[in-house]
Amino acid sequence: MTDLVPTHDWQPLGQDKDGSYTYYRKVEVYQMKWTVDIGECMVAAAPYGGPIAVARDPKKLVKATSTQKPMIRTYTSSGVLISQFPQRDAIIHSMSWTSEELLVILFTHGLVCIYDMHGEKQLEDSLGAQSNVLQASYYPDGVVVLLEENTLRHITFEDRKLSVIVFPDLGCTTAPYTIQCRPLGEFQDSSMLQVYMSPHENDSAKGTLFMLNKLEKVDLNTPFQHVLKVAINPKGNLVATFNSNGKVNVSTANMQKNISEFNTRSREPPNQLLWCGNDVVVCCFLPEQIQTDKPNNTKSLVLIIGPGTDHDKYTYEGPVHAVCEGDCMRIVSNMRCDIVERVPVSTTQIFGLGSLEPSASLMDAYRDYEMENASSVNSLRELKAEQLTDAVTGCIDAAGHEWDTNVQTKLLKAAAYGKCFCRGYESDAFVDRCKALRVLNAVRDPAVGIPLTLTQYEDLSHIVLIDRLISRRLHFLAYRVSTYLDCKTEKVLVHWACSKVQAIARMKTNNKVADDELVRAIQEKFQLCPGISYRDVAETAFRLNKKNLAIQLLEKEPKVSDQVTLLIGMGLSEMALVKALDSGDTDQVYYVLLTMKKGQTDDELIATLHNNPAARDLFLTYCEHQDKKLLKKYYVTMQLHHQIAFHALRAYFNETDFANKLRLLAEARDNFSKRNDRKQEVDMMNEQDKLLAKQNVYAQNKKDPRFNQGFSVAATLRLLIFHKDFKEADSLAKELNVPLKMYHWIKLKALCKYQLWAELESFGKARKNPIGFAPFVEECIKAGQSFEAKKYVHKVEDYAARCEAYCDLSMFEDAIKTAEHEGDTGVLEAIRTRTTDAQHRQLIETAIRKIG
Amino acid sequence: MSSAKKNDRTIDETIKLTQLKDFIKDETVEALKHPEGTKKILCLDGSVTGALMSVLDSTDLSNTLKPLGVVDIQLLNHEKLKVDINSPKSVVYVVRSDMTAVKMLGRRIKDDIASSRAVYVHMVPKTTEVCLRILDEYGVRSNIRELNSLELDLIPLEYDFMTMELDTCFREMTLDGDTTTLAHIARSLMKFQAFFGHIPIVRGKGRFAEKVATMMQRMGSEVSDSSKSLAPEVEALYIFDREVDCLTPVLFQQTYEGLIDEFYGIRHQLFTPPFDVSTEDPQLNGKTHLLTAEKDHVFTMLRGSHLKTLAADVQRATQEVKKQMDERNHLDKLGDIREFMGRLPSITEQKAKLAVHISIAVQVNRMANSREYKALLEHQKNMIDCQREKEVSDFIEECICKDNPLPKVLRLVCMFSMTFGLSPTKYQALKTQLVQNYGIQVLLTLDNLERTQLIQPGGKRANMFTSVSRNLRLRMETQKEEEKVKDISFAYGGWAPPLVRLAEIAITGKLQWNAMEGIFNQYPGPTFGTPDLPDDIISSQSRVIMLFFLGGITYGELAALRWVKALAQERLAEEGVETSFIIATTKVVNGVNFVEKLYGAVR
Repeated sequence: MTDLVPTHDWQPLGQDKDGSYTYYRKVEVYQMKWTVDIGECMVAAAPYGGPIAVARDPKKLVKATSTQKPMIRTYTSSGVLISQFPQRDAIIHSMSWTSEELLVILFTHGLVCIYDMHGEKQLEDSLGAQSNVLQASYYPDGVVVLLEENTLRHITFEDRKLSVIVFPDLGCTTAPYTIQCRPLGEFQDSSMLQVYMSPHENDSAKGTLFMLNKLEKVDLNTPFQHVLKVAINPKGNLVATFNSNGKVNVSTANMQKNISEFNTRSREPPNQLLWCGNDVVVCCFLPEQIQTDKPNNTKSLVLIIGPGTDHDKYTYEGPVHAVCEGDCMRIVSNMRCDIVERVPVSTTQIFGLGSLEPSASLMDAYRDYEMENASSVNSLRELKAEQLTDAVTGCIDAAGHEWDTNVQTKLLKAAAYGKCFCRGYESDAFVDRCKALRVLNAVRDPAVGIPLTLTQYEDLSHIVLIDRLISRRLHFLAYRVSTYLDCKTEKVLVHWACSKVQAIARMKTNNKVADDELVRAIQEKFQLCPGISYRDVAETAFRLNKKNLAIQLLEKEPKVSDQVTLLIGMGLSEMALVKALDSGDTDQVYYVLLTMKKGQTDDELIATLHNNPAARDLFLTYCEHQDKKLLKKYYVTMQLHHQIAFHALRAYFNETDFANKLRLLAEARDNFSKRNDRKQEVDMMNEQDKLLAKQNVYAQNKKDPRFNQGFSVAATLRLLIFHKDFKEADSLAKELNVPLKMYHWIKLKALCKYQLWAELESFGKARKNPIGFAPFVEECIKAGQSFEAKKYVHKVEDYAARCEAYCDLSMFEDAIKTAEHEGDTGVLEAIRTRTTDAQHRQLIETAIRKIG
Repeated sequence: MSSAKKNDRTIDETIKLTQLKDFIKDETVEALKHPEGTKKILCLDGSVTGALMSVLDSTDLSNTLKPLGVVDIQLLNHEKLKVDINSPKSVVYVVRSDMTAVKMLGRRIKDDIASSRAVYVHMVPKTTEVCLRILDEYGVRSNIRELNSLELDLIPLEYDFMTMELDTCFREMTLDGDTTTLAHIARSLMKFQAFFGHIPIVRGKGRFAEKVATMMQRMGSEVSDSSKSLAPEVEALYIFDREVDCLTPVLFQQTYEGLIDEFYGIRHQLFTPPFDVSTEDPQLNGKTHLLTAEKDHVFTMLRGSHLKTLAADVQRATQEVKKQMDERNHLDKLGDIREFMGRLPSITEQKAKLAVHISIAVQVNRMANSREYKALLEHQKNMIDCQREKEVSDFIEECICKDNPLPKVLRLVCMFSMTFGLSPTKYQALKTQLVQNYGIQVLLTLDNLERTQLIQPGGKRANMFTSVSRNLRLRMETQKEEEKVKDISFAYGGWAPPLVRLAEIAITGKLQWNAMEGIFNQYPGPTFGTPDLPDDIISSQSRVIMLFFLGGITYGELAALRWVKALAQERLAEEGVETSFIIATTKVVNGVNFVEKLYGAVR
């Protein structure tokens, strides 16, 4: 098996709980494609296989090669140049990457610049301090900075915004040896941030290590010599210190318990002190730090120290830069990129020399099988069912942690072979692992250069990985990964389109053909993804001064709200209005109109409304509620006289002041009179005017405020009748042209309502009676006065109606007599349905017979 | 009996609208629960009360909401919040997102600012730009702690019936030109599709219906992975626009349910008889009854009954209940007895319901047979048949003179205009009388009615009315034996509601779309629709068709629809196709509220 995975360089560092060794190995991942001498440079590499930023180190003497401005370059982990951009005219103190893979550059004079990996500036802000930066300790989204006057500032760059928190005075007279911040878990609250500070030996403050936070400073009372370097493991529970006596100590985070000690026998602190995983501490010594017999040492030394006294060392030609990854360590040198990682248990179980684990047996069996050796099955039969399942799981797990695709394939094939012998094996884990590996292998490709381990990949999530591919502008790969993992591809496509737009904008030639071509290309790709938004692409175009392109792109945008807001943002409110109206979404129409209302004069607005009837209706409805003045202005401008009249009339009903009421009425009348088809309304307004005046007089004369409650003519007449002023009622009815018939009804009903029976009787004797007496009977009955009703029943003109009235009053004999007299059997039949009295029925029978 | 069986079967067949209801219910409870654990005042906009009650299956909101921490329910109006020192420190507003309501909301929050009460607002069905703007204008937006949308939209009331409880939909679209509601409707139909799959066929009649269909199409293109992945449960959606026929809603109703609504008013399916319903059990008096098929079998039998057959139908129901009760006398086997005992509670309940309905039917029958109502129905029939114009016209004038309620008079005027047609002189005379009797504000209302074309002075209505009526067989001139009525026109005593006629044509499923389109085109307004799909797309074994009535539907039309539905189901079942229908509308309307909503109200 040694041919498959070399085990000779596995270095045991510490033991597991069960006594088995924990091995570490170094894997060469890339041959660097760059020509950088990191010895001359300041290097910052992002974790999770992230990009590497390289800038000239101002502290190192470098042979000047050109007169060019110094450049900052970003590379992939495999050393492929991503971009280069000129450095500002200032001295860089340090660089780091945020969790979004943005490059933070801290200048000595206190300026912070944040770029993306392509050199697009995202942020530039100052710390607001007068003095220079001495030290900086970074964590993913922030940094703690030590300034010259020995004060600490905590700076965060979340949401691409800089916020500075000033720590209380350190109380140091000399600059401390080192500071190291320790963010607590998922915290983003600066009060939770802790900082280790190791004061200089010349400092007046005694003690070797302090723990600071925003509020207090605690002496940790460590028994060490002066601490020159501090490193915290990824989990945050262990702290490694390099002390002035050359010893590396590992302690618990609170420094209460010393876990291990290792003597490096080096006077000088290592260039880097960091963790590889959570158990192993690493010291990187640069060539110039190493005292050897040879004068010009060019080799770096990487010392890895396990728990206890186990250790190992790697030597490199030239300087190195090590990156602490959560589960391993990446070492970047001029020539190579290596990963130092713990050999997974599953791998040791399979490939460990003399391993008797089930997974090792499975691997053996598979090899036999491949060599067409029939004994293959036998060795499998020796395994129990659950052992076989464990073996398959072991192979799948080991495959995940391998870098070599051949090894991955072998292990997966072994697993596939083994699971055939497992009853009811759930293949999900196998399939998921295969998918994950396929993605990992794709991104590990030197051309992409993201050397992620499986653990990192799972920690990062595939969504973030896709985002990172997008931000590297690897759109095609991102798209393929998205579709392969059934993820949404919108983000990829949109970002791709935005990059295209940026590219065309950079050319600075307004070429319509190119624009059209681009729109077509984008549309072609976007069609793959129905419902995808063009908004961001259009916005990018607009921001880059490509207004026409933006409009063209917006045309394709399916979501109206996105179209509308952007068009308004572009100052094209008319076009936004058209779009909003087309959509039928009134919310959008209102949004445009209300925005227009803020920014335009009334006249402009009215002109726009005039051209868009649908918008006009909506807006006038709004005005009716919220802006009556503008509503009227619209009507006046458009010369809609009847609308002005109705508008005045509406106001009239809300008005209580008499003079104002008259004024509004006059306004309504004048406007009605401007139209030929509203003659009747003009008359009505005049009559209302008269009525109003009369009502006002009545209210005073009769001391009855009800007259002023805006009654109709009829109601006023009824009230007059209540006051028994018949004369005035008659004259008002006449003056306001109330038809006689109607007036009779009004009077009749009012008299009955107010129980004015004597008056009713004299009313019944009036010369003219256009409604007849049937209503008299009816109304009296309704008022429960059959006695009164009987006074009028004989006067009902129509005999059929009279019979009906008789029946209503239970005067069946009279009814029958009348019907008989008229000889109408139909009426008699009708009477029969109304009575149950046998005698009446008898009479009806006789009458019918008589007529018949 | 046969109809009862049929209904039982339909309950099983129809797609599970309860899913949708449970979803809305959960959302609503969740919204009203918030902020959890604190006591709060709930301030309700009158127009959402009904929807809320329906969603929560509640006849008494204060009881239902008590467990959610609501200690006080107040109505949103122009007055201030009624509070004292002990009042809760939070207030939750549930407000329809229309301007009138939001203005009241703004004022109310402003008046209560000093109390620093925590304000939570739920906008039904969606927070809109205008609402936000108005709140800004009152300067209270920052005082609202949380402002959310509460999607109380299509609420399933029965296994086959849904409403959106939108009171002012018809007015907003036809009069105000405010089509916001249409977007709400389209959105709610999209939501429906999210539950029950994309509906392949969408057809309909009328300009607003067409707008809704267009919006749905557009919304469909906005969402990427929409309901298209779900297997379609509903085959076709037909949207009918109220504007196509405004005559039917103003007509006086003649079915049991319609008459209850006409005389007493049914609010959100709830009816509280203003008279005593029982002499035996005084507890029943003054109680509110939920009129729904799901819980009231007797009502299912009676709801669509025309007043002329009401007595007979009550008799039939009585006998059926009696028959069920009588079964106890023929129980020999232990198993039968046990089975009967199991059913007994429901039978007893039915018996109690029957007693209530008999009392209601007696009252309704008395009112419907009064001289006044009979005269109305008589003249209504005259108008439908376009005869005795003079008599009808005199009748209307007399109604005005007699100071009859304004809605009633306006309904008659509208009917007159839509049938005989109103000559300008005639209209002028009526207008004068109306103004003299009811006051000058009637002018504003008349203007509104003209703008919605319920009144068309000088229109050549009569001719068109006659021809359309003939083409669509809307009038039944002779009605000899009511018992044997074989047409939807039974619901209005010889008038087939046109929308129901169109629906009938659509759901009997015999016609190809282009033939159907031809018939639809005989009515004014645009016709639109998906052409016929190849047969293999739609499973022919079971079909669900949804009918949406935009702008409201009356109980009379519902009765006619249910009748068509039962008939179509029976016929299709013979052909081996199981069919079910879902009826949806914006609101159940009657003549009074239909006209009242169009008042030139003084705002």
